[in-house]
Amino acid sequence: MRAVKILERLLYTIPIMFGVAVLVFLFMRMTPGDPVDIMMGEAGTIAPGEMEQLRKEFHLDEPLHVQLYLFLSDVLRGDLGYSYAYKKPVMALIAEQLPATIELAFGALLFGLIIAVPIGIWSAVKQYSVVDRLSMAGAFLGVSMPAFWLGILLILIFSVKLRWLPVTGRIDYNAGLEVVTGFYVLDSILTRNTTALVSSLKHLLLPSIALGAGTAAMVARVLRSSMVEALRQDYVTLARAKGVRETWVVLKHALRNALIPTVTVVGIQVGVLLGGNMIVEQVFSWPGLGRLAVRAIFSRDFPLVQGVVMVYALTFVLANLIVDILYTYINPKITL
Amino acid sequence: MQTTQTTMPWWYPLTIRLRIWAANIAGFFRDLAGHPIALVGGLVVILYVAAAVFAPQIAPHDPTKGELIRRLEPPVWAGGTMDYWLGTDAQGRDLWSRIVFGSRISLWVGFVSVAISAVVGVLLGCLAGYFRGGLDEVLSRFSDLLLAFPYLIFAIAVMAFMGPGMTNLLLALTFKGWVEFYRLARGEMLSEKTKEYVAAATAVGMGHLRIIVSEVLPNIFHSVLVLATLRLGVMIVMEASLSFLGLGIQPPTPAWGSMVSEGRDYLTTSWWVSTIPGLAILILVLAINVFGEGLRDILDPRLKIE
Amino acid sequence: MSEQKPLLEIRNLTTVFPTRRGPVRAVSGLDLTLARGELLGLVGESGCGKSVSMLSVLRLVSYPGRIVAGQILLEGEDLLALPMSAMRQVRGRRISMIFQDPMATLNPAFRVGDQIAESLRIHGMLNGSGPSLWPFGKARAEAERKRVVELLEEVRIAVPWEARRRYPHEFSGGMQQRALIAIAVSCQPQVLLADEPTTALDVTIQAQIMDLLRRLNQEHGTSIILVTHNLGLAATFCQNIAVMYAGRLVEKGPTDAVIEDPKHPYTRGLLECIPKLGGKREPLHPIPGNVPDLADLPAGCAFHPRCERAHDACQEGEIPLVTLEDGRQVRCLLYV
Repeated sequence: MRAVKILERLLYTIPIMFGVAVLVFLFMRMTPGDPVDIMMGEAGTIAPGEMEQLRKEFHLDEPLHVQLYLFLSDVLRGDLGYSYAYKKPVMALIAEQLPATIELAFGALLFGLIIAVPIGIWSAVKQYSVVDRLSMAGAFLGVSMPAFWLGILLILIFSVKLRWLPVTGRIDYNAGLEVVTGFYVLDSILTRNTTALVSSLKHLLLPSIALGAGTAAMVARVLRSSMVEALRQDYVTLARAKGVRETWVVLKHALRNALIPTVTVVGIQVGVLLGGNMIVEQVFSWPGLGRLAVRAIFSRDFPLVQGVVMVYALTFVLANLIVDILYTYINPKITL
Repeated sequence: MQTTQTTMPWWYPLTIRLRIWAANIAGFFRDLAGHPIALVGGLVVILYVAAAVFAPQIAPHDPTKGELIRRLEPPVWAGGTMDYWLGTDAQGRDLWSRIVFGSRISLWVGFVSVAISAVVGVLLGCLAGYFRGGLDEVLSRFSDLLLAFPYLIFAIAVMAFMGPGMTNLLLALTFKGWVEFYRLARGEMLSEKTKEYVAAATAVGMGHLRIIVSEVLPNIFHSVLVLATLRLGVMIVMEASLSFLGLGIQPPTPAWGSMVSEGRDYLTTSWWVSTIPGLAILILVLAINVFGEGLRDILDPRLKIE
Repeated sequence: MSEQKPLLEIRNLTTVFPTRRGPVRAVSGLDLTLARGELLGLVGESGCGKSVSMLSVLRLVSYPGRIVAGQILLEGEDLLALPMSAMRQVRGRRISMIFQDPMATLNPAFRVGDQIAESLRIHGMLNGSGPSLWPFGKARAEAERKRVVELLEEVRIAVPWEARRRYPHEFSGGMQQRALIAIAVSCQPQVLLADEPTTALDVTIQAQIMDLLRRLNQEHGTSIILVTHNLGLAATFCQNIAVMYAGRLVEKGPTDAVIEDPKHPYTRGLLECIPKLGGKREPLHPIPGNVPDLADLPAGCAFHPRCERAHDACQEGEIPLVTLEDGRQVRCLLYV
């Protein structure tokens, strides 16, 4: 029964992706200026016949709806075009850089949760204590801080002044990592390469903090308020009246209910993380999709931008779907 | 005997609400005094606004022209001079002056983009929630679609392809910005619509627009205001992020984000060039958020996070 | 009234809540006894301290409220002197409690069967093994399931083997309260504290629940304290009635005696408030005045400002609880 509902939701993403593709397409075509001109301008001098050649290649001489049809059929075949600037198929470029972005988003999420969950619970249990006030103040700060500034601050403190952590990149060149999945941390575990593991973790730490601070702040606040709410409920009194140990009352009876609104916020944060990594990737020169996107945009590399935006949207939609599914497991009142 | 009949203009009840509000300003400030931190936040915001408005009077130096001989001077507490008390950047421009002028950009962009988002979003949301049907379907689907895009990608793409400049920047920010207001207004409209006073108004024969403006709008006004305050901080950070990437307002106009970006190359030697403009952003956004929270507590204690 | 030692004896219980306006004495010097198998009614208006006194018995008074004086003797043992770990053994095992709003008291995140099973596990009610938090082994799980179904049958919930897998929101109000009763009696307690168990339910369901409680009392000998503001309900159900006003006990005696011949003016006033079917049509006789502010109690007898038979001596001093010849108790200067 539930499997059917999940399938339904999955199918629902198709029209969304369709809409995204159309929107991206229209958007690209709507921007002023001849795309070929723009691309040519960035790439340097070109032989005379090549402009027409390229125009034909990109089907720019055809009517709009034909272009749309061609575009969509290409996408369905997995062909996202060819990047003129990089001289590689877009799909290949994206496949190269995507794992890095996912790894970063994951790291940020992990950091955010590790910080936020204990703090949220503790602040709720010991309301108005010093810990509570300090952490809520910290949360305010975390929400107000621009990620790029935090990143630079972290670099300043930990890389420049203290020299504990590296500034840019994903891993030390001489760690000799054999790439399997593209997720460096995972790969170093799989190939039992401890130097690589240490190195990749060191590189992952600061960007994760910069990206995850906002998440940590939001989740801590929501968790705290929903825990306070839950602890006020009658079922908590009943749990105590049954003789349940206080720790268990908090961690089982109250938390389980407090998670419901919290997971919603976490879901939103996943979206924010996937969207905000561009900035952090720039700051730390993290070789991921975000940095690729920025470069593509600056070099007016249309096909690449198209492809990247679509992949972003798809990842986003899928991530939301996963969170929604997770939510139905947590909240027994909702059946998708 | 002749009786004169006076009819209320349809926007009258809304003005009543606003007038009650104005009359309660004293009460409002009293409430605000009960939230000292929020009050401080509000004052800081006012200070920033004042700095933006009186920038030419406040800034001691020209923010766009620097003397290369004075490049990379530290702030006054780290060995610099009082004249350039926050130090100078790589081109010898006074950081303090640049920050003061930069506030103009950030505040202007922030306020205008939130205002536009709010107006468009609330309008569409009210219409969609009230009339339902095709309009609601189309708008809601469209807003769902927009939500599928991570917020920054959109803005970056717009700025990159349509070129820099204030109008494009505002367009980029509001294109997704209205969605939150739309959902808020629509949600509130949907729940208000089921309430009895709307049925009563319809029974009396009030026109639709009148119902929306005079009956429902005043009730959702508070939520909209709170949301607007909270979004303001987000917009300001977004503008800064765009400037950081080089996609915002172009140099030599000072913008905080681009100032941070310019300072990156000099982190090892002159940390203040990047750090201090970022601090300006942080303090402003923090003040806005703190004030917004206080506003929320005062206007709608039901929404209070406690 | 039996001659043997009372099962539960509350002596001089005083529970105070510190507030900004001063300490609120929710319960002042309460003396109450409960015999084995007795059905005792604790009656009074909202805010008179009946619920708080029951919470005090289980030491569930929420911070910052505190029990500042008194003893609560269960079979001679003072519960207030027990360490928390021992108190937890009493809760749910020897003294159980059910609350007013069943929807709020059941934890919405867990299945009903699991919530019943939790009590069984905590108090080690299965296979005579020690207390633990979750079942180990198939045999244990099987025994647990059986017992849960038995308990659901006992409280007359239909299709118990299915019901146990349901979530609270899928039950009606009456069924929820039955489930709570199942939780309460799962460990066969000696005392059941029922705090307004039927107030949130329809009248017809009310009768069913009261029947259930009566049956439990007859079949298992469980003593029940029924807390209610509904004097009529107490009259039909209880063997003895205790009346509380402003945190103090003002009258106690066998039900018939108290109803037909109320001694305390407050009790008399309560009875006269009840509109009677048939007979002459008369205006209702409410008790004049309002319930006193527990932070600012009148000196002397708390009821004297509203009492038609008050005289000067009622305005000061502690009014003692007097035992009359038939064993009844009254706190009123009229009987001193």
